[in-house]
Amino acid sequence: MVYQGEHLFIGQFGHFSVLLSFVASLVATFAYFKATQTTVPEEHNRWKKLARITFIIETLAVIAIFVCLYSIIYNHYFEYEYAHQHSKRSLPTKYLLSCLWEGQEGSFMLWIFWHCILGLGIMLQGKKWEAPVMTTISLMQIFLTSFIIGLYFFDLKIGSSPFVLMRDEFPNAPVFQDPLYLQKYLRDGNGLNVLLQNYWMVIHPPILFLGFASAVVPFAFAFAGLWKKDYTGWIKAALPWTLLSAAALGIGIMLGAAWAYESLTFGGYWAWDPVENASLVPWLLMVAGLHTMLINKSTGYSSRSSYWFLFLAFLLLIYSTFLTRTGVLGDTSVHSFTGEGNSLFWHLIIVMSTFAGIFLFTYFKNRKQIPVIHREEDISSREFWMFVGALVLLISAAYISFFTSLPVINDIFGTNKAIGEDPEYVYNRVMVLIAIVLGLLTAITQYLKYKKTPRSFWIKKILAPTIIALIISVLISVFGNIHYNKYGIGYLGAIHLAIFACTYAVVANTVYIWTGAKGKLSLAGGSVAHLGFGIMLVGILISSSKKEVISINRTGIMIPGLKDPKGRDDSGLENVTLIMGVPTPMGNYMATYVGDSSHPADEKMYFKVNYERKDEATGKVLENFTLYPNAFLMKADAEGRTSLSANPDSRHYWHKDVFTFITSMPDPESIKDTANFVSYPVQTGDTVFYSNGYITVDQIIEANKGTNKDLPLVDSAWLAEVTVHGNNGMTYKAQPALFSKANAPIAKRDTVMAQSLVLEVNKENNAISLGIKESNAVMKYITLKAFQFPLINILWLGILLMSAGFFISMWHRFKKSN
Amino acid sequence: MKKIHIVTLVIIAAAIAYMLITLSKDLTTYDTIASAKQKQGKFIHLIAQLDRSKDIEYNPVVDPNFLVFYAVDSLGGKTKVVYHNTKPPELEMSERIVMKGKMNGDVFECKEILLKCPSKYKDDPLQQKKALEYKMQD
Repeated sequence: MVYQGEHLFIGQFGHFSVLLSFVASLVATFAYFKATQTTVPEEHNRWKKLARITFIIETLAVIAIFVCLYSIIYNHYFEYEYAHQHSKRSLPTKYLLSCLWEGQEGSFMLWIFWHCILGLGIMLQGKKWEAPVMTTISLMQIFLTSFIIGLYFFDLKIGSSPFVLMRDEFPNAPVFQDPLYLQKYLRDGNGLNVLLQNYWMVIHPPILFLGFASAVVPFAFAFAGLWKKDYTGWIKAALPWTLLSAAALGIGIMLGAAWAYESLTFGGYWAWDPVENASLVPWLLMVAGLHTMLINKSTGYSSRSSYWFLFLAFLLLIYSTFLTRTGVLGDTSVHSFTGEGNSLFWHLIIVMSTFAGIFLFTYFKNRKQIPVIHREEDISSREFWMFVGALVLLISAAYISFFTSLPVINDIFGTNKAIGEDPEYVYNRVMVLIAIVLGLLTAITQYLKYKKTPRSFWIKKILAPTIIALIISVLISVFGNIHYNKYGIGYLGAIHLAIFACTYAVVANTVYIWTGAKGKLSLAGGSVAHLGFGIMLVGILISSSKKEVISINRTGIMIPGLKDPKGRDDSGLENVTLIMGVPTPMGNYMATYVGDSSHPADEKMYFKVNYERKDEATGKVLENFTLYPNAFLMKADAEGRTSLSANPDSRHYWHKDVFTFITSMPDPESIKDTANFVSYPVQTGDTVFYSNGYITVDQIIEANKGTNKDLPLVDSAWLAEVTVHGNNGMTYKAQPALFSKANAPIAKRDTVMAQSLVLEVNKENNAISLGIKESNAVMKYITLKAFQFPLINILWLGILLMSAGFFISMWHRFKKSN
Repeated sequence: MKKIHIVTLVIIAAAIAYMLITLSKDLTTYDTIASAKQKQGKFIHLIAQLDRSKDIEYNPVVDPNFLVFYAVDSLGGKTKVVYHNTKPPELEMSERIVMKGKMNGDVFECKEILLKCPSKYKDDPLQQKKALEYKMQD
C-alpha cells in the first residue's frame, strides 16, 4: 500500500544519525583506549587524532538527531509516534521544546548531547588526561546511544528509537488499512501533558541533564588516575569539573522544585518523592567527593575516599534513572515515569554492572599503591572536620537511598514493606539532625587551617561570628513564631537548634569572605557556596515549619478515628468549597470565587479568586489581590472520559507566598438537574421560604398589549420583582417573568447562583404563582486548598548563591590550571 | 586506630542503631482487604479497585472533605472507604487504587489515595491502540 502525505526521509535521516553516533562512539572509545595504552608518542597522537575526529562526527550526528526530531514535532508529522504521542497542533511554540524531552528517548538524547559538549571541553582542557578520561566518557556514550538505537538483535529489542512510525508500531490497527490515514485519522497528536506546559519545564530538563551528564567526568578522572597509576595527580584537573557537576545538578534539582511548587498540587517544593530523592542522592555524594578531593589536594589525606565518593555519585545517578524509568517504583511514586518494560530494566543493570565491575576490579588491583598518610589528622585541622562533614553527607545519602529503594528491596527479598503513615516525617526528622551537624561544620571549618590550627588564633577569629549568629538566631526563635508542635517538643527543639546552626553557617561564611578571603571574590567561591548553603537551609527550615494551611474547613465536622502520629485529633480538613459570589473566610482573608474564564487556544479554565484582608477594627482594606488558579479537564482515555488536572497560582510577597489550587470542580457535562419546581401562589408583599432563607415578593407587574404599548414582541407579560434573603445575611434581587404570545407561554427564568435557586413565574386561573427550584446544577462552585508559605524566596536565593559559589571556584580553578 | 576511624565508626553505628530502632515503626505493609480487617486500627497500605456496582458519595457543596466509596480487591474482599478529602478527579476511571489508612470496624478510614489510571499511561501501547481504534470511529 502506498500511504499518502508521509514524510519518511527526515525519520530515516534521523535514524541514520542515531546509528552513526553509535558507531562513532564505538570507534572513539576504541581509539581513545588505544591512545591511552600506547607508550609511543607518535602512535598516541595518531590514535588520539582518530578518536577526536570520530567524537566530533558523533557530536554532529547528535545535533542532527535533535534537528530531525524537532522538525518532526515542529511540522506536526503525526505519522511519527514521537510527535503523535507528545505534541499537538494547538500547542504554543514555546512548549514544543518540552515535547522533545517529555518522552524517554528525548531525555536520553539530552544526556547524550551534554556528554558531547563536555567531551569537547575535555579535548580543549584535558591535556594528558584527555585520552583516559575520554575513554570512559565515550564508553558511557556507547551505552547512552544504545538506549535510542531501537534495533532488534534476534528477538531482543535494544533501546527505542524516537523515529518510529505509528504504522510500524501498530501494524494491525485498522486505521492503517487506509492509504489516507494521515489525512483522515491522524490529523492531530495526543498532546503534551498539561503539567509539563510550564516554563520551568522548558529549562529544568536541559539543566538537570547537564548535571546528570557531567557526573561522569569526575568519575572518569578518578578512573583515569587508577588506570595511569597517577593516583592523586588527577584530582587537581578534575576539581573544576566536579564543581561544574555539583552546580549543574544543584540548579537542576532547584528548577525541578520550582516547577513542582508552581505547577504541582502537593502543596510545596519538595515531597521526598522517589523521583526527587533519586537526583538529590548523587548531588550529596558529589559534594562529599568535592570536599575529600580538596582535602587530598591540600594535605594528601582522603585519597581513597575520593575514589569512592565519585564512583558512588556516578553509579547512583544511573541507579536513579533505573528507579524512575523502569517502573520498579510501582505504587510508591505519584509521578514516576512510565516503564519501558523489561528491556530497559536489564539494559540499565548491564550499564551499572559494567562500570561497577571495571572500577572495582581496577581499584582493588591498585589499592595498595594509592598513597595513604598513616599519621593521624590533628583534631584541630580543617581536613578532620571536612572529612566528618563528607561522612555526614554520605550517611544522609544512605538514609534517603534506603527508603527510596524499598520497592527494589521488596522485589529482591520478596517482602512487602512500605513507608508508613507519614513519609515526610520519616525523612525530615533525620534531615533536621543532619542540618544541625552540617550547619555547624559549615560555620566553623573554614576558620580552621589545614594540618593544625593554633587554638588562640581560631577562637579570636570565630568569636565575633559566633556571637552575631547567636543573637540573630535567638531573635528568630523568639520573634519568629515558630511553634511547629505537630511532632512534639523534641522535634521543635531540633528545628530551633538547626536554625541556630544554619544561621551560624550564614554569618560565619559572610564574615569569612572579608576576614579569610580578604574580600577577593575569586578566592571566596567556597565561602559564597557555603553561605548560599546556609541560607538555603534557613529557608527550608522556616518555610516548612511555618507553612500554614489557610483553607481549614470551618464547618465544624470532626472526624472520628483520625489521629496524627502523636495521638492528637487530626484537623485534616484542608479543603474549602467556594460558591460563586459568596465571600468565605479563609485564614485572615475573605476569599471569593468571582468568576472564570477560558480561551479557545488554551485548554485550561482559569478561576478568578479574590482575596481580601481587612483590618478588624477599622475595616480598612489591607490587602486585596486576585489569584487565577487553573484547572483543566483533559481527555484521560480512549473512550473520551475526562479528568481534572490543576495548576496552582500564588501571590508572591518578598516574605511569603499565598498559594492556591483547585482540588475539585463540577464537571459541566456530568451535571444532571434532578430538582423540580415547587409553586407558591403569591401576591405583592408575600414571603416564601426555601431551605436556606426566604424570598419577599416586592412587586408583581402585569402588562398586556392593550394596556402597555411597550410590549411589541409578546401579547402579555407577568413580572415578579423579588428579593432573596439568604441565611448567610446576603440579599439578592431577581426578576423572573412569564410572557405569552399567541396563547403560548414563554418562561423567562431567573437564577440566584449563590443560593442555587431558579425562579419562575406561573399563571393558573388568574392567580400568579412563584416557582422555586433549588438545584445544584445552577450553582457554580470550586473546591480549593490554600497555603501560606513564608520566606520561600530565601530558599531560592540560597540555592542560587550556592551555585554562584561553585561557578566562582570553578572559574578560578580553570584559570589556575591553564 | 586513628581518631577519624573512631569518629567514622561512632557515626555509622549511631546511624544504623537509629535506623533499626525506628524502622519497625516507620515501615508498614501492603495488605488485602481480608488481612486488613484482621489488623484493626493499624496503619496499612491497601491495594484494591473501585467497586463500580455501588455509588460514590461526594457532595462538595455540603462538605468538600467527605468522600465515601466502596473498594473491592482481587481476592474478592469488599470494604467501605471513607476519605476526608476531596474526591480525586480520576477515581471513577482508575484501574487500581492504593489507599493508606486504617481499618475501623467495617470502614476503611483512608488518609491518602494513589490512583493508577490509564491517563498516566498514555504512552502505554495498549492505550495507544485503543486510542487509534477510537480515532477510526470519529
